[in-house]
Amino acid sequence: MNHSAKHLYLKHLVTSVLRMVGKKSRTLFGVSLLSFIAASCAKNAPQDTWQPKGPNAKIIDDLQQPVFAVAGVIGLIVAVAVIYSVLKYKDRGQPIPEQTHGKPALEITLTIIPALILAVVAVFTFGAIFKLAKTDDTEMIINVTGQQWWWEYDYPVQNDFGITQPIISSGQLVLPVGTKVLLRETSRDVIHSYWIPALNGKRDAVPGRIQTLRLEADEPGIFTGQCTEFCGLSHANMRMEAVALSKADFAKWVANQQAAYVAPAKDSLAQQGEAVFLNQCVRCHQVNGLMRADGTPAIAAPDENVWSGSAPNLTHLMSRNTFAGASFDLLSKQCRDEVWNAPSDVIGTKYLAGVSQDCLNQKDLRSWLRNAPEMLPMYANPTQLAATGGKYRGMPYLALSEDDISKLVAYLLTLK
Amino acid sequence: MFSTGFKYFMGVTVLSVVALIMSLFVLDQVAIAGVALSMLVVAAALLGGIAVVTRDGNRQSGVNEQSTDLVSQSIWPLVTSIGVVFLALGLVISSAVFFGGIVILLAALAEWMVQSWSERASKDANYNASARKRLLNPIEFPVLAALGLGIVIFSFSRIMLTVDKTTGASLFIVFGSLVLIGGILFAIKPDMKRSLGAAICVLGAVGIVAGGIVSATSGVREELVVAKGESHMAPECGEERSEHFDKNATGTLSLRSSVSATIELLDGQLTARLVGFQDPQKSLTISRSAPTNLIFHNLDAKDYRLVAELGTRAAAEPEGATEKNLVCTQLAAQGFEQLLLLKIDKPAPEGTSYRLVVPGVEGQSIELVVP
Amino acid sequence: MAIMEREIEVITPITATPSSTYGVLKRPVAATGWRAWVFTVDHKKLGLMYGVTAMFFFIVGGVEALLIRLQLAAPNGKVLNADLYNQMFTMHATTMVFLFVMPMAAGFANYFIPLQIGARDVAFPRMNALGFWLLLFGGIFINLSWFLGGAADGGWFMYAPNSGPVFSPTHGIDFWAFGLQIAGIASLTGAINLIVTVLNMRAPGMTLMKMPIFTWMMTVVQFLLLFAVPVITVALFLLSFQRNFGARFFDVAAGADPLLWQHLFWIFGHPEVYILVLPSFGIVSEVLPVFSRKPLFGYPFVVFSGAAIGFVGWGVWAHHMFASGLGPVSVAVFSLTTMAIAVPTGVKIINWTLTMWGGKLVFSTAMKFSIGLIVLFTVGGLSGVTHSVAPSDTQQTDTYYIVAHFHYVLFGGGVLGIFSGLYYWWPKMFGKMLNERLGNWNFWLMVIGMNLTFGPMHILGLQGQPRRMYQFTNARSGEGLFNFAFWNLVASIGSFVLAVGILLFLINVVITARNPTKSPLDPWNARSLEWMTSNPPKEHNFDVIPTVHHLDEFFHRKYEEDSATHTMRQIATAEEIMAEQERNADAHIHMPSPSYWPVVLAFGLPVITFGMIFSHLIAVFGAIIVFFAAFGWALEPSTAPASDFETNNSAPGKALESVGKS
Repeated sequence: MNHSAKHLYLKHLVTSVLRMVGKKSRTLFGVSLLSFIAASCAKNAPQDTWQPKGPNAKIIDDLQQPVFAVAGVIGLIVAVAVIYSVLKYKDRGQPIPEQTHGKPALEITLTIIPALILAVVAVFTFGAIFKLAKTDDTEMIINVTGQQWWWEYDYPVQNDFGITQPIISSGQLVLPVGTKVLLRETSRDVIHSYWIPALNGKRDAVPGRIQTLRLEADEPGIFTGQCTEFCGLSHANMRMEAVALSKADFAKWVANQQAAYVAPAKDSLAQQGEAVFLNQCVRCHQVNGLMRADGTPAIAAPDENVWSGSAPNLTHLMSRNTFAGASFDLLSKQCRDEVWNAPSDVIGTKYLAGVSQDCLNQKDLRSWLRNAPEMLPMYANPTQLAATGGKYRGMPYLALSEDDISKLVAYLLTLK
Repeated sequence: MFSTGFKYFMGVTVLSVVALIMSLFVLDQVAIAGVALSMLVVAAALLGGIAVVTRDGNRQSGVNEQSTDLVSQSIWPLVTSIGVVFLALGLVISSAVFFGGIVILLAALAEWMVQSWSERASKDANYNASARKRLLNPIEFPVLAALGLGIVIFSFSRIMLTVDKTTGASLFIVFGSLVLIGGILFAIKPDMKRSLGAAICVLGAVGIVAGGIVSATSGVREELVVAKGESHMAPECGEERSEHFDKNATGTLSLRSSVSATIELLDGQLTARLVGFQDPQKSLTISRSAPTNLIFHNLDAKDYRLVAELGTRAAAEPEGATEKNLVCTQLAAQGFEQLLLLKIDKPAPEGTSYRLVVPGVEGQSIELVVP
Repeated sequence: MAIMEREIEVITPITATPSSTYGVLKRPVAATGWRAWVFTVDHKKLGLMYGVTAMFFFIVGGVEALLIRLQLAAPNGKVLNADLYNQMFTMHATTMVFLFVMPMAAGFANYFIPLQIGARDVAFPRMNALGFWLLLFGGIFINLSWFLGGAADGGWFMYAPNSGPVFSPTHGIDFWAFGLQIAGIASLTGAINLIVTVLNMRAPGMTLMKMPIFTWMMTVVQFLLLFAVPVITVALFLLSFQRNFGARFFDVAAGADPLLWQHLFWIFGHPEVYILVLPSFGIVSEVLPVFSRKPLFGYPFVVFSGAAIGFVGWGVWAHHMFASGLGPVSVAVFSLTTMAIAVPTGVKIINWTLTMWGGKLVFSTAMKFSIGLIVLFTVGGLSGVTHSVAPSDTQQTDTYYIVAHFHYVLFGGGVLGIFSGLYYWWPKMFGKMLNERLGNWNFWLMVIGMNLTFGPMHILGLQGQPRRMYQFTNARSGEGLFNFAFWNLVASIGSFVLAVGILLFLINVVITARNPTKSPLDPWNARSLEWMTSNPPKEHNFDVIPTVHHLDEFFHRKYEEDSATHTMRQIATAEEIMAEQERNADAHIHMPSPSYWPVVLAFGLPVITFGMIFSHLIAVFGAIIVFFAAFGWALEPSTAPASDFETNNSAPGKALESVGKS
């Protein structure tokens, strides 16, 4: 093909593509694109990756929206070109075409164009990568430790936020809004990955390493996420929830977490529950301030019983909405919806109310105490402990009587 | 079909397999019996294989009457007798020599059998030689190559263990260059005489082996003797007894970018630098039971080590006694770093605390908070 | 034993029987029956056996996939429990990657590379046989774990420390690691074999730039294998030692860094992706020109972009680890290289499209699959580009968006290419054409099924559903109709549509086998050398080794360009060319003889590894088998002395023969 033919050829390509995109196809394309977007992100999926609720997720979103659009357009161009040639060059008895081996100029042009597009994308990508990796503007630090199959959050002493003694929590990450929070992640056993899609992308929690993840929420709210690095049997159940509170509400939360232990009232069911707790649960679960009958502090020894060496600290259990990491709700369905669906100006108050007797999800909590391995796949069966030297992974079956369970529930309700 | 020798050896093989299985059920200590019987299985099966291939080395009736004329020289009677001598010596001296004797004996007998078979194979001496080669070279070559290379490598390792570190590095460069030059030489002159190439290789190998023998007799270098007596996994927290530890441990680890904290000693001040905290810290939160890596970075003029004081633990003796639970790094010279791997299972008992200190630097410590 | 180069005077081809010099070490001679298959070293038979094995494992992996989709069809699925689900997705990936796509590609390579370059066999025929048997036994070995306490449950990526004995106490991962090491040997021997074959055994006149594009792509793949397999072997070795001998390579408490495994795995794992798709790229690049009646557009660009992918493919592994915490500099660099590799990939798509442009398109089933590949692979490629944007990837990685992406690449790219190749080369391999009407149904059901299955996964991923979850709950699936549950159901329905499509292929195979109609000699009006022989090819492939003057040599023997009008004029039919060849058949053809030892040696290895897991004494027996098989192999007359083949010579060989027989 000579030069002018080549020119014609290109022109032909462009015009035919445009013609295809025009008219019907354009409407069709518009409709399908809209319906795709509507279907994929408009429906309140709690872990939607296209609904940023904080500046870090926004950086990502601002980058990915145009990239997806460009990718979509390029895909469409290819599809149209293929469909066009399928329709146009179908064998209708035309002679065998000239055996040309290609046109280097066209080839090179069509190689350089995508390279240039990618170069532009790369520039913006680099900017975002380094923005998201910044750690020197941190305002608050939270240590996050993963283990099978829950997350522990500990807040080191930070007087600016009223944290005068370390706070340990699990299941729900509580953070103040408008504050640049830096998670320092690590793991006690296998690799996990921390991901709150509304606030930022994910970061693996690797044992032996400390890895950082920036989080910042614009408004109060509860944001969900899930462990995204395959971590064994209950990987699917390893959830996390981030609760963003206004600064005032956060201060209240901190004060509550640092409040001293209140022993249950004398001769109450809860006090009997405390005895059961001291007898059974304290082997793994710490309740700060809890004293044994002989007046010594009850220090849990999860390292002797659990492979990861840790079990959730239950000190202020009822200030959380979930238990067993975040696998189950501590609030009954109705109460939970009330908190979760609350508008952002009152969600803090509702959340800080904690779990009252009426709102407690009795069913799940009781089943959990009755036989935890039945509710969640774990290596908590005594026959499976050869490799760990007798240590459990997850909460084992404790053979508690129904009476003991009632007492325990009453006791746990006092852990406000 | 099957020759007598084959039947005999296969019988031994099967019996030893049975014995092996029996020993698994009967004996508690299967290790030695298992190894010995497995060896027997392998040896008998090998001999059986050779026997059936060579038809027991029997001459065939009426096929090659003249082939007996072709009997050539043989080294195997000599080697066999050497094997016997080793065997006997081994009974007196040590079991290693005894086993060596067994190996030599078996090898020599196998070679002898194949040679005598091949010499009767046909009237053509050359053909007979090639028949022997085809049967035995597949075993001889790998074994001899492994032996030869093993000797050269072992000799080289002796040299490297004897000379000091700098000389070792230079020697490595020299050897490497020689190999490279040799390779280039072969590449440039592919039509070079094979004997010349072989001569160069043999010369090199002999040189290394000679060096190895000299080194082996003069013993390994001083610092390795000292280092062998030390435990490097759990460094001593007191006086450093050796100068031969890894001086810049973090340089060999991939952990630098994501350690929990870097503990810095500068002008007698001990501070912790943590990712995310703008200012140097005097306390450090460590999750219980999580393996935690810390880097100790010494910027002061003296050699120091970082010590984690983690309360007390039960002492080995006397019973009931306790001792300080210390975890330490090696000494770090000025500007160098050492790594500390901590795993703390329980919080400090009420009224006490865990801390990081540097012996020799007074009044400085970093609190380890284990919530 | 590059013996094809030797020319030895024999009376007829094939019947040259190496002498039974050593009695028990005779070479097998059966030309029919099961012996003809088990002891064969013929590249075509081995290619077919590779294909059958791959198809079998494709069905196994497909059933695993269907179970996965059944489990996820609705919230809180109860079909599988967590443990079984984890085993299922681990083995689905392992089976599809190592036991279906790789062997299928190896099968195509084995069958067609010698034919395409005008050779009579591969360079090392016995090693070729060993490769096949190792793959088969390795695959069986891995799947044995289902019956011996449970299969591997750590995911095919098998991240440490989750793969350690504490976290996976069954023997599944041991079987997995050992089985893959065995299959890895197969890949390595195959790679060396095919590289030597391609570089040394091309027909006269066939320069590298006149080599058919499929052979080119497969050669790139073999180089990738040659360098990638040792890396995974090292990793698997460390893992095996960690699990079986108490080594602590990935034990954090002993100072290890678990990211070591990830680096090792992905340095292998990313080139592996190209190992999986490049063969299909090669097939498509053969099929499109044939059915467009036009040469491949920009052949040198396609060749060099393939080679470029082969090189750059080594510099992108850490894009699988953007969330692992590598630090911003590494992430930025790997982000850039990942974008860079999109360029040569894009070049291929452009060239395929432009091959069709201005052609004379014939829509056979093979062509449809190829066109389907262009479009669907483009979708996968573009979603891949969105991953190269690292910050965006931290949102999408380990979600279903990734699952969608790599299924568009590996199914839309890899599997459609394989089916294209099956339909295209079926007449060549079996002398019969697959039914085109069923093929049409097969194609559309597969394409619709695959889009229904994997298309919604894009949305699921963007809605935030992580991978490798044995259940999803209503609480997290969102409100409204188009939530997790809906899209998961669509995907599950799609997977069954897809399964029906593949079932149609199997039915097509049966129908075709029963149909006595033979295919024409050149059913597609093809272009490359493999069509210049009978269907199926004779054991020695070509009666006369063709001399090559053109890329697309066969086409240019059939057609000539009219210098005035630039149109193509037929000057010969395939039958005429074939007859011409038969008239001038070589009198001196020497083919390698079958051998017992590859299959025996290959059998010894799983015995060893079985012993490693259960009792070291069994391993000793395996070692004995391997030792004697290697011994027999070395001893067997391979490049037998000329005397072995001379029947009229009364010299030593003859005498020795009678020694052996007594």
